[in-house]
Amino acid sequence: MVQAKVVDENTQVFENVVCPFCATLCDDITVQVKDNKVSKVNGCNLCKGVFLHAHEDWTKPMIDGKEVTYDLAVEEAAQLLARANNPLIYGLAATDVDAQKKCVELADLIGANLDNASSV
Amino acid sequence: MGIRIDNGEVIDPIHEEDCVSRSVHIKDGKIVKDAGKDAFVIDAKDCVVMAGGVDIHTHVAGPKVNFARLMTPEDHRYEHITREGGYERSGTGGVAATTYTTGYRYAEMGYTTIVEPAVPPLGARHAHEEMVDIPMLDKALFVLLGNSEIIFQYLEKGEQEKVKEYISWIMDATKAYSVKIVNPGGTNLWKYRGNLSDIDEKLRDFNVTPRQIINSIADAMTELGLPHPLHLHCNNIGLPDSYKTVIATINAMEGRPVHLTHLQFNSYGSSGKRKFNSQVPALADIINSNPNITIDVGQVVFGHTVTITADGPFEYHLHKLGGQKWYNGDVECEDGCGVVPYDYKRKSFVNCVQWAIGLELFLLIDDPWQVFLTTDHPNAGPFMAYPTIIKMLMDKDFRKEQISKISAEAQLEIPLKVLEREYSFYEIAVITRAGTAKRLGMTDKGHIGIGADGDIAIYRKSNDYEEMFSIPAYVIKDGEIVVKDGKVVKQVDGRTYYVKPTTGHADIKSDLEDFFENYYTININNYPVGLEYLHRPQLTPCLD
Amino acid sequence: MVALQLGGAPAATLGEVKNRADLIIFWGSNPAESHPRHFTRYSGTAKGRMNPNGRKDRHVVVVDIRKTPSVKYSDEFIQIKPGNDYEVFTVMRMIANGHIPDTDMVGGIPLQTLIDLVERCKKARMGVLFFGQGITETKGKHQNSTAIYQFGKDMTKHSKFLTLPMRGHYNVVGSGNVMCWQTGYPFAVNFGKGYPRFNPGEFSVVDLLLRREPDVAVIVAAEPIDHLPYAAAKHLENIPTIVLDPRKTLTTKIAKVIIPVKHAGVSVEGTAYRMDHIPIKMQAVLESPWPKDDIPLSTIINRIKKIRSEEKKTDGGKAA
Repeated sequence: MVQAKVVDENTQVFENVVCPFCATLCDDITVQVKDNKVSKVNGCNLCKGVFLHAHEDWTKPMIDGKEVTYDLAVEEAAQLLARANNPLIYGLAATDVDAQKKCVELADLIGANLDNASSV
Repeated sequence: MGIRIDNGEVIDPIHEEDCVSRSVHIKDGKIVKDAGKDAFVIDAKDCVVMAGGVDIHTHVAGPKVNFARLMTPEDHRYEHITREGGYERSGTGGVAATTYTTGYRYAEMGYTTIVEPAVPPLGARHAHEEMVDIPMLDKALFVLLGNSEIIFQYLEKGEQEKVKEYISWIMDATKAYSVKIVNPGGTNLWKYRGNLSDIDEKLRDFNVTPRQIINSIADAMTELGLPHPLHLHCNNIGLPDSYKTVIATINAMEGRPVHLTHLQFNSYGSSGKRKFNSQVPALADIINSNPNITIDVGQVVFGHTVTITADGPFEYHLHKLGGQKWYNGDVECEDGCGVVPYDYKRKSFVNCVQWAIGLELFLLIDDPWQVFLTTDHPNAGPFMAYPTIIKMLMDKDFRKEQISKISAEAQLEIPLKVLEREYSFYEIAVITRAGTAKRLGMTDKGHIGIGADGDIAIYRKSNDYEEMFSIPAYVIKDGEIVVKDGKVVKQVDGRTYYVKPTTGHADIKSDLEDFFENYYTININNYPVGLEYLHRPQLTPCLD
Repeated sequence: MVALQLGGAPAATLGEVKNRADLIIFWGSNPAESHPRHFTRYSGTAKGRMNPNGRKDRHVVVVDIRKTPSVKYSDEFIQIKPGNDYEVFTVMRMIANGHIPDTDMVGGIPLQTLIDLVERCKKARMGVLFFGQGITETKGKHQNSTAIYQFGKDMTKHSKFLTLPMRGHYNVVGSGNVMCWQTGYPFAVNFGKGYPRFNPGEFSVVDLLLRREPDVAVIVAAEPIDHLPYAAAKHLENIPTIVLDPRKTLTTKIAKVIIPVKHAGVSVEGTAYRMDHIPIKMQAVLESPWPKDDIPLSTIINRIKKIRSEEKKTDGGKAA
C-alpha cells in the first residue's frame, strides 16, 4: 500500500488513489484527509461527490429500524437466510472482489438467486 | 498424524526407481524416512505409487480463460458438480470449467501441481485472484513478455542489462514463476491487424525482430537464474510449414535452453494432396540431438473445445476459417489474446493429421525427459483426456483401434500408422510428473525422495490404463488424503510458487516512470501485485 | 454480456485506444456526464504512441438521440431517432459488406452520412466504437450490442476496429468476472438445484421481483429501490430485506436488517475491475469502525452451516 503523507497531526494526503465511482476507475486521484473527513480531492465532480461526502450518513446495525448490536444484526440475517426458500442476493457492482466472492459462496450455500447490475 | 503407504510399487524416475516394492512415509506434509508408529497405513497392494502429477502448461486462470468461460454458456449446462455430491463448492464444467471444478478434476486424476502459462502482466492480478479459488493444487504462472514494448525499446538500443533488469522487475510485479513468449512480435503487429511470418522480419513500430526478442529474453533468463527456461510458443502457429519456423527458431537459440510448448501446433508441413502433413519425423530428429530442448505436446482430443491464446492474429485466422464466436483482447504495451470455440472432428483430414502429430511427437522423441503430456488445455482439448491419451501411448492395440476411426484419407498419410512403440509406467511417470517437475525446477515436486512434498498419487494396476489413471485409489496432498477412489474427500488449498530474481545493475526506474506516463493508462504505483494476492506464497530460489 | 456470450467481440484495453486509435465513436454514450475523465485519460485528448498530439490526431464522432454535453468535444454529431440503433447498425453492416440499400434515410440519418461513416471506419488506423446505456437499455437491448459487435467483426476485415461498452458502476465488471469464474455465468444465476444455472429473464433481478418469487433478499452495495423499476423494487418492501451498505440509502430505509460495512475504495482496500477488465487495487483513505463486507458475509455463511448441522443432528435424533 502507498503510504499517506502526513501534513500535520490531523491531516494526511493520499496519492494515486483509485476512485470508486464509475468504471473509468481513474487511479491518479489525490485525497487530503483531515480528522477522518476528506477535505480536498482533485477528481471530477462524480469523484468529488464520493469522497467529500464519504463521512456522511453512515449506517448503524439495525433490525426493524431499531439500533442493535452488530452481532445481533448478523445473527438475524443468518437466521432469515437459513430459513429462506428462494432467497435473492443482488448488487455486487459497487464493492470489491473479496465481497463478490463471498456473495457467490453464500448463494451457493443457500441455493439463492444471484444477480448484479449487468442484468438491469 | 503421518501416513505410511505399504505394499505398493514405487515409480520415481528422478531416483531411477522403477516399480520398487517399498513403503513410503509422509509426515508434516513431506516425504520422510519414518512416519512413526501411529501413522495411518494405506495398503497399496497391486498399486503403483507415484508423485502427484505436475502439469507444465494448462490454461486455467486469468482474463482470457474467463472470457472462454463467458463465451461457452452452452457447455456449462452439460456438466455440473454439486455440494450434495460432497464438494464444498458447486460449479459447472464443460471445457472451460469454473475454478473450483478445475481443482477438483485435476486432483481426481492424481495431479497436485499446475502451471497457468500465459498471463499478460496487466492480467496477473486477475490470474492470482482466480488461482486462489482453484483448490487442491499448487500453482504457478508464467508472465507473457514476447510482445512487451518496454523490452522492444531496450532491444532497439541494444540495452541487454536493462532487459534483464526489467524482467526481474516485472516478475516481482506480477509474482510470476517464469516467462513465456507467444508469437514474438506477431501479437504486437496484430495491433495493426498484421502478423509476421519470419523470425528475421522487422516489426512496424520497433526496429526489432523475433530472433532478437527470443535471444535477448532467453539470455536474460539464464543470467537471472530462473528455474524454468524460456517457455516459447513459436511464430506461425497452426499454419502449413510452421515446422520450418520451429527449425529456424531452434537454430536461432544456438543451444540455449528452451521449452517449446504445444509443439503439435507447429509441426505442420505443406506436402501431400491436401498440402498439409506431419513433419514430426524431421523435428524429432532435431530434438533427439539437441538436449537443450524440451517440448510439451498439446495433444488434440476429438470433440468440442475452446481455443484461447495470446496469439491474437492466429485466433482471428481461426475465426475466419470457421465463422465461430470470436473474442479479441489486445493488452496495452504488453500483449494480446483471442478466444474462439472449436470442434476437432474425426471426419476432418486436417484435424486427424493434427491428432496423429501429437502422438507421433510422443513416440518419435526418444527421451521421455524431453517430451511432456499436455493438451494445451483447452486449446487442443481438455486435460480430462489425459487418461485416454496415456492409454493410447501404453497400449498400441488401443491406439490402432483409434487410428482406424479417423478419416480414411488421413490414415493413409500419417507416419503414426507404422509406429509400434509403447510407453511403460516409468515413462508415463516421466512425462506427467518427474520430467515436468524437473524442467520447472520444482525440486520438491515430481519425486518421492526424502524431503519431497507429500504429494502422492496411488493408482490401482489395471490393463485398462485409461480407467487406471482416471480413478486413483488415493491422492495425497501435503500429507493429507484428499481423494479416495477418484473422488475428492477433503478440500485443501495449495500454494502459489513465484520467483524473485535478484536485480542486476541497470537503473530503469526513471525509464519505467516515463513509459508508464506516456503509454500506459494505469499508474505505475498501482501496477505491482502484492504478496497479499497469493495464497500460501512460496518463493522459489533462483539458480546460482 | 449476453451479446458477448452469443458472438464475442473485438476489444482491447483502454491503453490501446490511447496509443493507436485515430477514430473514436461514442454511440448512445455521454462520457462528458457519465464518465467525465474517459475523454482525457483514454479516448479523446490522451496522447499516446501513434497519437503524439492527442486530440489533433483523432476524429471524434458522437451518435445520440439528442445533443448531449459530449457533442461539443466532437468533430461530428449524428442524430439518430430513438429506438433505431439496431436498424442503423444493420444498414451499416450492409454497407460494410457492399450492399447499399435503396433508401435516403435510416433511423433519421441520411444514408450518405452512414456511407461516409463506414468508409471512415474502414480507413481508420484503429477505430473504436464506445457504446453506452443509450444502446443497452433501450429498445433492442442486448440485440443492439450484438449488432455492434458484429459490425466490429465486419470492420476487422478492413481495419483494426474495437467495440467497447462503457460500463457504469465502478466494479460491475468485477462482479461479472467473479461470478463467471465461480459459476460459469456473469449474472442471472440460480443455485436452487445445488449448482449454478443461468437464465436471464428468469433469474434476473427485475424478473424475479416482478414475479414476487424471492422470500428473503440480501442487497450488497446497491441501490435497487432507486435504480430498479418501481414495480420490481416494491417487492423488496414486502419481504425481509438485508442490506449491507456503508451509507444510508433509499434501500436501507426499507431494510429489515442493516449491516454496516466499510466503504470499499474509501475506508478499506480492495480490488476493482475497470471497464476494460483491468483489475486495480483500491486504497483506503478514511477509517471506519465497521468490518469489510466480506467479514459479516463469512460470519453469516459459517452461522448457516452451523444451524444446518444442528438441524441435521436434531432430525437424526427424531428419526432414530
